[in-house]
Amino acid sequence: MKDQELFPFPRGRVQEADLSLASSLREMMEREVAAKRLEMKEDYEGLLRPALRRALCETGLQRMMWPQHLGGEGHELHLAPYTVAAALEQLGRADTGLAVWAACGMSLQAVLCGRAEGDGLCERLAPLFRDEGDPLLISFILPVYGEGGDGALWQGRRLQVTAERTDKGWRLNGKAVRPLPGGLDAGLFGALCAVEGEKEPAFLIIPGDVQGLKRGPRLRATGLSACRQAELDLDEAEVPADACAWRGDAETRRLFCWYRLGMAAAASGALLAAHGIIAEWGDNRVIKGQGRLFKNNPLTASVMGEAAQETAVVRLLAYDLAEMLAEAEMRGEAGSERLEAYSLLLAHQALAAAERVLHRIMELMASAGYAKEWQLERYWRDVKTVQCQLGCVELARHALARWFFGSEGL
Amino acid sequence: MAARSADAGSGGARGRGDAGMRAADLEILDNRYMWELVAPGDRLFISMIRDFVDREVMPIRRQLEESTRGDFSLVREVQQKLVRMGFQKAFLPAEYGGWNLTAALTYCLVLDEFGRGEPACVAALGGGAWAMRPAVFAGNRRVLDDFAHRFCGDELYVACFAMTEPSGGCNIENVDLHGRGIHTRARLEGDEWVLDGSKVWPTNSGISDIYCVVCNTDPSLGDEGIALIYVPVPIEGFSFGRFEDKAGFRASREGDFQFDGVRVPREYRAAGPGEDAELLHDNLIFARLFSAAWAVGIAQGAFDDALAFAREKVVAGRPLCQHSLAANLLADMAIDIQVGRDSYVNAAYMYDHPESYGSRVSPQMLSRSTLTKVFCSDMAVRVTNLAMELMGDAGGDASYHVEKLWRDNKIIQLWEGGVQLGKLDVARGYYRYEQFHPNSLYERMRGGGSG
Ligand SMILES: Cc1cc2nc3c(=O)[nH]c(=O)nc-3n(C[C@H](O)[C@H](O)[C@H](O)COP(=O)(O)OP(=O)(O)OC[C@H]3O[C@@H](n4cnc5c(N)ncnc54)[C@H](O)[C@@H]3O)c2cc1C
Repeated sequence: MKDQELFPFPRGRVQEADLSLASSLREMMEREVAAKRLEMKEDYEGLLRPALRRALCETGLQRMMWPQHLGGEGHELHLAPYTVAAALEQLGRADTGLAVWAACGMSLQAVLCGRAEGDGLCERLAPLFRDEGDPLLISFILPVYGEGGDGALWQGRRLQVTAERTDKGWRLNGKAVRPLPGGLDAGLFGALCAVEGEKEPAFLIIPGDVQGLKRGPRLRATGLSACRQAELDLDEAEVPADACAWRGDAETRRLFCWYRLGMAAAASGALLAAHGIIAEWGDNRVIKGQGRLFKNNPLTASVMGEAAQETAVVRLLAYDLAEMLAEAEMRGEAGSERLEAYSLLLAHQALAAAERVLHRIMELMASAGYAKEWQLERYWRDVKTVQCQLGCVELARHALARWFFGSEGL
Repeated sequence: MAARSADAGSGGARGRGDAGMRAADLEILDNRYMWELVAPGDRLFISMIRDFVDREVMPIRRQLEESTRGDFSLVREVQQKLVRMGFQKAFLPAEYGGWNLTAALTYCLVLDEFGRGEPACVAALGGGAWAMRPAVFAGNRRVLDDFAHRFCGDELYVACFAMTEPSGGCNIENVDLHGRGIHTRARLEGDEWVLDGSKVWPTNSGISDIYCVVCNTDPSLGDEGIALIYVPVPIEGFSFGRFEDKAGFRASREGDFQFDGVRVPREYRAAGPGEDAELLHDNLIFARLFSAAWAVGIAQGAFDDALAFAREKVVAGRPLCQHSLAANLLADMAIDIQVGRDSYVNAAYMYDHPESYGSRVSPQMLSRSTLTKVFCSDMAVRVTNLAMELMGDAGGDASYHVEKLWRDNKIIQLWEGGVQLGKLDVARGYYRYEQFHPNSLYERMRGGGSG
């Protein structure tokens, strides 16, 4: 049985088109990534880039929510969360980093296209999103914990970039700015910026080739090798007035909700991949003595059962979040504080469970789990990296305490 | 940027380099375990290693891993310095030029020190002590006469304890199998042992000068069939496959190799039937003890780095470490680490004193050493995870060290019995657990084909 059917998900809510997109993505990724995985380690530029192009451009994910009159597919926003869950799960199954890139692109599309009134920005960006030759990699410059620089804050976190209004638009400055998921290859940045002299931050879209933007050297990270990290310096970089995609918190929260949906789906995909790996191991490895197959040993079978249990839960959490985003009338708008709290809760829960499962599966496979050859360790590193990027779980719990108990002054 | 350059900082945070450290801090650090438990002669050795780690390893620990993506030259430089310090020969009896250093507790404390710095780079030398231990304990003069002097020179001379096979490591370690999981065969032809079989994963594969091979002379003999035979290389019939590429612990090298009719003198067997099995089990118990300490060291390194980060990083108006939430996480880590350290120190001390605590090779000692290994390696997984969590996005950033320690530690949990067999071995200390205890229901179901 394919894992798509093996682990439960709200089948009735997912459109046939999404299921067939998921199937074709799965096949495509088997061909483009799984089959070439070892060479890819040596040649990221050469091999992952085409895989990304196929995944994002050829399938239309990159322009999925973009309005049709601007060359997009015009996918309806209330259906899109399921599409994101189904598609990103399959990308994540092949490579967590691919899913993370797609998650960023789709989150930005969702928020830009969901704004009440259109403006010149969508029109200006349209060619980038509908480009079929090159994948558009988007990274976010979000507020971080910790102080430094001028220290303008958003919900207690430091805004990394400062924007100043000019006659023509905005002038941007920031040192050692850290975009997520990766600064080295991103073609477009979305930054929540402190606006000089104003209280409310602005979310600005910054092209990767803007003058004054300098990328630092590649920084190594635990995982997500598809998302190569580098810090940026923004030194008097100028962007036009319409680069401001939004002001106010609602859209920023909406962006977080979609981004977290992507992370949860990526984690679910990583666990589906891990399921395949441990299933193969369980079918072939023999524990001596009574000559039992690994999967028939009572002790190891119990851990395998635990892994399946948690994999199923992570998948359900991802689809739950999709449902919340899709059915605004049930639990409120994506831009609401309530949904932001729920998305935080679900994404952290999904990532924590995914991380636990990958630890457990690695324990079952012992050295083989630790060896690059078996691929498991890659998902283990990737999921841990995504978890780190989501932020400290203890601080997330503060946000939850604020929402659920009205805790103050945290 | 906060703590990014924590190399020196975190080393210093523990050692003498940190001028800002108050006397009270130092007192706590130096009272990590009871020094009275360590033989006076060995104390000097441990502080020498502590100093070495602070001076020679801490400042370059990231580069050490980087070096493993190339030619390992930096790793070898550190190892070479250890050779010159005498580390390589320490395990040998004094009459062979060594320092008689056999106490498990001393090795544990040494690995605790290396763990916080670069855990894997010491494996090439530690492998010598581990692999040659059966010959030393058995007093095998032929092996010591032929090879001891090589460990006393100025050049790196590497040894490997070759146990794991393609069909599994636990199948060999499982005492209930009495050697039936060992497929590498040794047969006596005249005055020579002839070896056939293959091994995967032993530390120092492919870079060793001598292998202590766990093999079987006749599986029907049970424990009597287990043999430990020394094979110096290069030798005809020995071939190395390839190095493994792993998630962490990269400064140590593992791979696969084959024995195809390899011949060595009959005296190269560590001891003889029955005794070799005992030496094997002893070595595994010893390894579980030092694995526990290694994991504690790694957890300590992660704690030191997380603390250095939390001291420097200012969040919401004060250093991160001054927030109750962070202090709580740091305390959780400290509790775990100290309990782990207490646990391995106790177990190793008991192992070193059979006159008070009974035979070194007993179900109780197997259980005790495994208990501490399982606890400490699980604990280090928890602590490195917490450290990454405390550091948020920086936790996964390789410019800090925590993520590397998180990767390095995981293997300690997986080797030496792994998680499941490890727990079975713990149970053996409390009652006569037998994995293959007759199961009438299972037999009936198999025989009757019902269900
Ligand atoms: C960095 C590194 C260094 C190493 N160094 C050495 C070395 O120096 N020498 C050496 O010989 N080997 C070495 N190894 C190999 C290591 O010791 C083995 O990997 C380990 O013993 C586990 O064996 P395995 O990987 O074959 O897993 P398996 O034996 O296949 O075990 C897999 C899983 O099955 C479980 N299991 C096994 N038996 C049972 C059972 N009876 N009941 C229930 N569950 C069970 C285990 O707990 C484990 O989770 C090293 C490995 C690494 C990665």
